[in-house]
Amino acid sequence: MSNHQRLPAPYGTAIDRQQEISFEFDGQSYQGYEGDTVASALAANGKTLLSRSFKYHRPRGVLTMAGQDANTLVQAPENGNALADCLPIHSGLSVYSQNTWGSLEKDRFRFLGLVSKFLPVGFYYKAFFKPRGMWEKWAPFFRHITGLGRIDESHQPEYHDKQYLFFDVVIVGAGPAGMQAAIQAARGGAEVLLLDENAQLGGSLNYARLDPEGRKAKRLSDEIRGEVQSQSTIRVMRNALCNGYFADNWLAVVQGNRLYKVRAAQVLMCVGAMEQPAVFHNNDLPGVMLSSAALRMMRQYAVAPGRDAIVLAGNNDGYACAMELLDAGVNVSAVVDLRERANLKYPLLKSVLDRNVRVITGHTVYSAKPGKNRNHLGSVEVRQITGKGQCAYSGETIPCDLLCMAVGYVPTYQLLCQGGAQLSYDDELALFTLSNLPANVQIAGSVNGVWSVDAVLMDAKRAADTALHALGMGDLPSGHVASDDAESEAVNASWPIFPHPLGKEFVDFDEDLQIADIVNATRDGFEHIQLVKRYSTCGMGPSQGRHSALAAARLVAEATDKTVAETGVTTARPPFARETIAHNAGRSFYPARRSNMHYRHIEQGAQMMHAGDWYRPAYYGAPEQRDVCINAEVDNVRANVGLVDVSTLGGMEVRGPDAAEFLNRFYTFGFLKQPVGRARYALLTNEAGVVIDDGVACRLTEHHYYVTATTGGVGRVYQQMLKWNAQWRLDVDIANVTTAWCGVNLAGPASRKVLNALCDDVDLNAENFPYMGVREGTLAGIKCRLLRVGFVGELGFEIHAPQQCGEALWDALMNAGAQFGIKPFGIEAQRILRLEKGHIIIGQDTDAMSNPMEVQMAWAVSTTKPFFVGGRTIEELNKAPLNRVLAGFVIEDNSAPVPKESHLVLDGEQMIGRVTSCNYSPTLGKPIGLAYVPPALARAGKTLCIKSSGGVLVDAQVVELPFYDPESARQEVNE
Amino acid sequence: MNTAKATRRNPLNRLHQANGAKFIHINNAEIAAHYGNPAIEEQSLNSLALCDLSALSRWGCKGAGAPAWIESLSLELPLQANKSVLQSNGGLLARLSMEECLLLDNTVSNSEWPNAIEGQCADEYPERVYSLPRADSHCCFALVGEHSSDTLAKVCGVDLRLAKFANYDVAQTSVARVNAIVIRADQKDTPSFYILSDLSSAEFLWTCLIDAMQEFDGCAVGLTAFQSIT
Repeated sequence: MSNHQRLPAPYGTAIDRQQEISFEFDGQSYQGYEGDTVASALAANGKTLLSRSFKYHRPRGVLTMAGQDANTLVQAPENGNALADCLPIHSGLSVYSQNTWGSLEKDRFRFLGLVSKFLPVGFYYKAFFKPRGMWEKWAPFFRHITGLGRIDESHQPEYHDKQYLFFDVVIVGAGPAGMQAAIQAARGGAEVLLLDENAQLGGSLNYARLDPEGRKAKRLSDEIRGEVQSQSTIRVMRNALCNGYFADNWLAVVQGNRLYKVRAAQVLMCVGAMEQPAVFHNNDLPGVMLSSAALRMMRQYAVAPGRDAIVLAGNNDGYACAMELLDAGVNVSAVVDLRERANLKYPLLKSVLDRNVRVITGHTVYSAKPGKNRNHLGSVEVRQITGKGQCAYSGETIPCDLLCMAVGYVPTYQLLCQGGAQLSYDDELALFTLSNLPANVQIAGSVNGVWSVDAVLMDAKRAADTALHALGMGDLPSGHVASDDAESEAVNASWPIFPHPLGKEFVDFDEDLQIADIVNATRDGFEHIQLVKRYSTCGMGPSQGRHSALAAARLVAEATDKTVAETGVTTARPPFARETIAHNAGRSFYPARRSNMHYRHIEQGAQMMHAGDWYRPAYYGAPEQRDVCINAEVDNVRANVGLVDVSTLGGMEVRGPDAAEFLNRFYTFGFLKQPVGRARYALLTNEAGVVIDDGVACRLTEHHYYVTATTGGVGRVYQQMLKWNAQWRLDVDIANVTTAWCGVNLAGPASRKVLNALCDDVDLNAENFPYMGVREGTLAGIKCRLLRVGFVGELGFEIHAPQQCGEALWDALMNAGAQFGIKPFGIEAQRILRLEKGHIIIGQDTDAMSNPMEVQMAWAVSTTKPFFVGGRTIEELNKAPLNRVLAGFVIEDNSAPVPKESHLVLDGEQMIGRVTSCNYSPTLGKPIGLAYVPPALARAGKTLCIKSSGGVLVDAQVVELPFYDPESARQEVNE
Repeated sequence: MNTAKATRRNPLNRLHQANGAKFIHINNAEIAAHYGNPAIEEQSLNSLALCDLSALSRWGCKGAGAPAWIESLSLELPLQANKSVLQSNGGLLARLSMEECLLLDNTVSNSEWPNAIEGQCADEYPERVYSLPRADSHCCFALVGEHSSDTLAKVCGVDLRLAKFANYDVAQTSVARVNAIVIRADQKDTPSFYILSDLSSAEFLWTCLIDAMQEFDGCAVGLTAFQSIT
């Protein structure tokens, strides 16, 4: 089909008639022009039916022509819910109607509306949930007959990313107010960002009729646009949707494949107002549209929206629309004015009368009726208004194929209300107004209740001057701009809502909600507007209540005997309009930390795992050999020597005259008498006496401690150290040097031999370098800190070296250890080794309630020092009996499923504890573990009943800890 | 790359090597001198380039005695925190707080001066001056060129536009969600930012920056090209 219904230039400011484009809709080929949307090109081809409604499958066409409603939803190749009135056509584009069964014209579910009485609001809540399990049977059916587009699960999204922008003034909306404000702010010296969701700047100037001659809008638009372009400090962003307003003038703006995070010292919201539909029988028929939609079709796309038009006017804009239709060659049969009297001073009204158009005041369109093909408007019935929402018993039927509604506006409040602005209702003007704006936010234009274009431009200057003043760039302007001409009289009809005995007067087009649905929701007890929304789903569709909020508020107010102001609207939350997940997810940053030895692990076949932000080697070998590899690593540490990367351990330097005093207050142990050259276990509790971290504190000099912390806990420990010393004000400096020092644990009976091969400036002899000793020395030319510790229960040395030397250190140790059978071991083997030795892991074997006594660490708590963090609580806890104890257990039945962390310990049906660690021990040849159990069961010899995988009950015997080498002879091996 | 020769090793060098880097030895480490054609790399400096300077020396100190001790070494200390000063030897000294300093080298010729001061601190053991091993805690990149601030706007929430973030200003912030010290230190007339971040996150941050630079046709350059503008 071809472009056979185009109006001549200058109509069609958005299209390029030199570039014809072919595209397909529902498999049929159509022609359009560059700049057309799917909806405008289809309309130019005489195709007005675009979709079927969500619930009743009613025919739907253009309502707003601005992407603000769900009527134009179509299935695009990579977009399941594209808006046909926003979606630009391009060569080869193929879109389909959605939510249809059969064809769009003869959808098989189109008769559902006939049974709408049996499908009231909440019907599925009431009808399909009983008996139990029935919903699962019904759900597929409902999902088939309702719903929107389909997601292409094979779609690979394009690259999306984010960028920060900073401006003195950000202006949202490039209509007359926005453009004028941008000019004023730029002239005042501000750096300005002017953004608009549309491709064209100008807003309503691109389509509105401001004067009888129809020239003013274009003249103003050209003038202001030219001035915007001439200002070098104005950056213009077109097709840029401001989708969220957040605290401190943080704006989320989507343009193309990028989400901009815009920071503004001052924000000017010049976002305009959204025209509203009237509510009457069949107000959703294709051919019934907002007056602004008809104007957009003509001015921007050169498409006559119909041949025989009726205009329903609740304000003067209806006459502007009528004049534009007349000039475009559309027959206007009548202007039906809801008002008792039209304002004869309004120039466009006089022009309409001069063109001999019939004006019927005090009347309304009571119902619309389809024409022959049932899918488009054929006529309207006009009746006299006899009261609020009431009409005469009969009226006049007027044939038409176009009904333009100009009955009022709602300010585009969403972004402002996201920031905390208050939406109030002016009963006299029947209009929502905004107040309590967020700090450093101004509004101008119709969103500010200023309507005539001259007043809008003045208001914009005022708002810009206010912003400039706040920026210290100008004087504070005087007050609010009065809007006092004929154009600015009440723009909203007070009650353009007319119930019909047959219903189908749609309040919410997205969800097919009629007047009765809203009223019945209140009768079902859901009287608050928020509850009405959730019960009826009003405002929950794709258009998010843009065209239902006002009517719903009015109806709920009426039904609950409240004012509209008291009723209000539902909460506005970001995003303002739909946005893709790709925009939010695109180019997110997930920090990854690697130790200096990372690639050595990879080269040696490690399977890496995440530990917080860190990559750590889980084990070395093929995944299918996981358990074999882990057990071999354990065996090698016990028999020879192993090397594990512990660079992720936290490290803090605590230095200064009060370093010992600081640690003495911070950790549970005593540190004042700790000798230089010795390490001491450091257990950390919080004020509630809960164990929150552990490590070792190495006294390197009188005033210098090197303190380790757990991989996941170091950030918290460092923060706690700073917090406490801010109170104690001790003469101490605390530095987090976690990354600065890498570390390895060289463990196994041959570990001293390996070290001896590399180190000649430290006496490694057991007597001179005892367990928990600390030395500084040189290994393979690298200055290191050596700690004799025994986390895995063997003779072992933690070697800490400057981070950049990590790989060289690893290489040196592996080379030197080759003759002693050295093998790397990973985190999994380390977990088993430490479990065999009965060492706990903070966070795995402790929880948010664990105190030192429960985890059998009373030995690590000083009872003699006057204070430590958590000490007072622990003292009190010690006065009461324990509720639970972390006990060791073994499972003798090797065929039983090995319990996992958090498996329950049962006493009959009662849960009495839980497993925190459990693994098969290669050394002991059976599963071992730790579990919280009642103290009475924590004694050696008691039997625990653990509910293991698959619900299998496993008997476990409580044993004394540690499981391995209770005399700790292994860590004193002197080979 | 012969990593066996160097005790200090930069894991990022594997990535540089994969991109064709040729290395030179400096400061007991290897650093990418160029990626094949230093002349082309020099041309990209005007527009956008990223150079890994992690192998160069840097050191820091903090404590109540740090400012006085630093000044006693005839080094110029900024009067305010979050400012830096170009030293007479070509190095940079940033004041991160009133009691914390960062000494940064950006040239091969003077590559050892922070190390020398570190050694002096260890020898003198000045009262309440606490050494910070910045070469091991932080990587160091130089982001250079006209689009450097545009690139940073894609990864950092601080306003680093050239008109707002003056030469030698310091921002301690987050870049691509990792903590970073950003120092603007233009090289001659070329906008330039030093980015110091957690050394263990170096590969992550480098990858993020290279990704953000694609839009502006930015590329990695070696030390040779970078030094052509220092």
